[in-house]
Amino acid sequence: MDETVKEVEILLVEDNPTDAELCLRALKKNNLANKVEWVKDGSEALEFIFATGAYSARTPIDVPKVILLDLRLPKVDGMEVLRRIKLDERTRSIPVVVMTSSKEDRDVVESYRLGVNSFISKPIEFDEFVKTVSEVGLYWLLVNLPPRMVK
Amino acid sequence: MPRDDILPILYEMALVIGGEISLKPLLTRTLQRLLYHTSFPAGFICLDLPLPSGDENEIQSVKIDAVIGDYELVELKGTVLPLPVALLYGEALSVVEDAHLLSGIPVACGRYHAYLRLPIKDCGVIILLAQKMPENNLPLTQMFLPVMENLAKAIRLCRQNDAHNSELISTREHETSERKRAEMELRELNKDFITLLENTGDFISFKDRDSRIRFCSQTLARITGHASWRDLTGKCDQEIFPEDTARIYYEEEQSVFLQGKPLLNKTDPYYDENGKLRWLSSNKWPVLGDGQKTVVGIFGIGRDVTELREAERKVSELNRDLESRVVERTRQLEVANNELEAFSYSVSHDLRTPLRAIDGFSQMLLDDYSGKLDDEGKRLLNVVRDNTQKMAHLIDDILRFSRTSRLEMTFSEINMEKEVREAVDELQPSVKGCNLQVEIEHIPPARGDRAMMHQVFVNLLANAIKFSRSCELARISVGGTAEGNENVYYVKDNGVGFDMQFADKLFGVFQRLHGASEFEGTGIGLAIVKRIIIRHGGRVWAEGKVNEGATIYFVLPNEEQEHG
Repeated sequence: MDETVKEVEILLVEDNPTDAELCLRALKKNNLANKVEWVKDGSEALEFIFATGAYSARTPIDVPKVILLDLRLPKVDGMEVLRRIKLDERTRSIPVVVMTSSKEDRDVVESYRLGVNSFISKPIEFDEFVKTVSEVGLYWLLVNLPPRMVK
Repeated sequence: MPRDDILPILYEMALVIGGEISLKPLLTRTLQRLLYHTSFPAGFICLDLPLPSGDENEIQSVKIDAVIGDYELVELKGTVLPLPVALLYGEALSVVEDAHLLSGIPVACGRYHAYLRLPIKDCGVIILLAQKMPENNLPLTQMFLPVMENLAKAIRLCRQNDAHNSELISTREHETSERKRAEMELRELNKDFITLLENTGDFISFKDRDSRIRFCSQTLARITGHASWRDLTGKCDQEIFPEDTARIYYEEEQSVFLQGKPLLNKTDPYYDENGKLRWLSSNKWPVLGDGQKTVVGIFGIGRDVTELREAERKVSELNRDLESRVVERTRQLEVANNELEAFSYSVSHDLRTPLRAIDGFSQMLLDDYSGKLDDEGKRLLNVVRDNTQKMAHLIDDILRFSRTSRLEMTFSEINMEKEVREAVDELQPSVKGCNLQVEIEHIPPARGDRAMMHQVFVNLLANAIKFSRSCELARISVGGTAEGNENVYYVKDNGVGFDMQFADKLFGVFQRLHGASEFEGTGIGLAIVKRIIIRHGGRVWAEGKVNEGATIYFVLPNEEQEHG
C-alpha cells in the first residue's frame, strides 16, 4: 500500500521499456527520478489517474505535477488518455506533455485540439534526448507552478 | 322585174340574212340566194377592203372571203388576189361587161366577161360573175340596196357573235385543259403517295374518327400478315394487331381524339412479322375538321427504334458499370491510401524508437563502461551511433517523400519569383563560407500548391548550392519562360555537374551520384521535386556535364491550358 500512495510528481506513460529506461536515466541525471511512476499502457495510466482498478487505493486528489505521455500505447492509446484527462473536470488541470517518436502534423494538431500542454518529439540521438527530457522535467517540476500549489 | 316578183325576193333574202348567226354560212347563203335570184352562175364576197389610193388603175390585194358557183373559183376561197380597184369600188352596178377587169381572177380568165357589183356598206363588196351579159329579166341592183344594208348589219352581228363564240370556245378549251392538267397532277400525286406508302420503312397511317384505317403504309400490312395495305383500309387496330399492343395504340389515340393535341415521341411495343417484340417511336397528330374544332382523324408516323433502344440501353449499362467501377476503384484507392497513411504513421513512430534505443544504449555503454572499453571498442560504438543517425535521416526523408504524395494540394496563383527569393533567404545559413552569386531572372507566375512549389525551389537551390560550393565563384541562375500552354522553369549552377548517362537516376529515391563523404544528403531532394511536379501535371529533367554544372528544368501547365 505504501508504494501506491507515495507522492508522485511525474507520471511516465510509456510502453517501451528501453525508452522508459532512457527517459528515467535522463531524469535521474537531474535528480528528478525519485518521484516517477511508470505505467506501461493507456489503460493503466487511466487507472492511476482516476484511482481505479489496481490504483483504487490512491487518493485521486494526489495528482502528479506532470504526465509524460507517449502516443503509441497498447490497449488505450495516448490520444484517448489525453482526451479522458482533459474531459474530466477533476483531472483537466494536470499538465500533460506528449512525448512521442512521431513528427506527424496530425498528431500535433490533434493533441493541441484535445488540450495538451506541450508536445515534444523525442530526438533519436541520445545526447539530444537526454537534454530534451531534462529540460522538460526541470521545467514542469521546478519552473512551472502547478495548480495544486496555488490551492 | 315586176314589183310583185321583187317583194318575195326581198322577203326571202331578209329571212335568209336574218336567219344566220355565223359569218361563214351567212355569206355563203346570201351568195347562193343572190345567184338564184339573179341567175348569175358564180360570185364571191370580199370583206374588209383596204382604202383605195385614188388611182383608177390601182391593183389591190384582197382576200376572197366567200365563193360559190364555180368549183375552180371555190378553190380560191381564203386566198388573197390582186384585183383592180375599179372592180371593187364604186356604186352598185347592174351588169357590166368588162373582161379586162376580171382578168385578175386567175381561174376565171377568159371565162367571165360580165359582172354585177353589190357594195356592202362599210363592209366590203359582192361580185357576181357571168360569161356574157344576161339577156333578159335582169334584176335591178338598186332593189338589193336594202338587202345589202341588212347584210352589213348581219355581218357585224355575226362577226360579234363569232368572236364571242370563239372566245367562249377558247375559254372552254382552256378550262378543259386546266382540268385535265389538274387531274393529271392529282393522278401523279396519288401515284407518288402510293409509292410512298408502299416503299417507306416507317409506319404511316391515317384513321378516321371511328379509328378505322383510311390508308396506311405497306409496313403495317407486312407486320400484320396482309398482302397489301389496301386490305387494312376500313379496319381498326383490334382487328389487325394482337390484343395487348392494340389496346395500347387505342388508348393513346383516344387521348389524341379527346384532347386534340399531338402525341409526340411515344415509344410503343409492336410485334414484327415473326412475332418478335420490337419498339416503335411514334408521333400522332389530330386531324381537325371544318372549323378546326373537332378531331376527324389521326395521322400517325412511327419509326422502329429497337436497335437504337438497345444501343442506348447498352450505353447506360456501360455508364452504370463504369460508375460502379469508378466507385470501386476510388474505394480501393482510398483503402490503399489509408494503408499507406497507416504505414507512414507506423514508420514515423515505430522505426524511430529502436534507433533511439540503439543510440541511447550505445551511449550508456560509453558512459558507464568507458574504463573497460579500449579506443577501438569506443570507435566501434561510435560507428553504431553514426549509423543510427543516418538511419534516422533516411526515415525522416522517406516520410517527407511519402508526405509529398499524400498531402492534399491547394491550388492558387503563385508568384514564383517571390518563392525563389524566399527559398534563397531560407538557405542563407548553408551559403556561409562560399562565394555565391544568385541571379534571379524573370520568372513567370504559376498555378499550384504554394507550399509545395516553395519546397521545389528550396530543394533545387539547396542542391545547386551544395554542388557548386567548391567553386571559386559559385553562380546559380533561376529563370523561366512561358512557351505555349506550358511554363518552363530552370535552376542552373556551375558546380560539379554530372554525367548525362546517369541523368535518369537523379530523380530516384535515395539515388546519389556522389559519395557520402563528398556531399551530404540522402538523395531524396530531387525525388521530392519530381513527385511535386508530376502531381502538378508537369515534367522535370536535368542536363549537365561533369565539372561544368547542372541545370534542372521543370515544366508546369499554364493557365490557358487549365481553362481549356
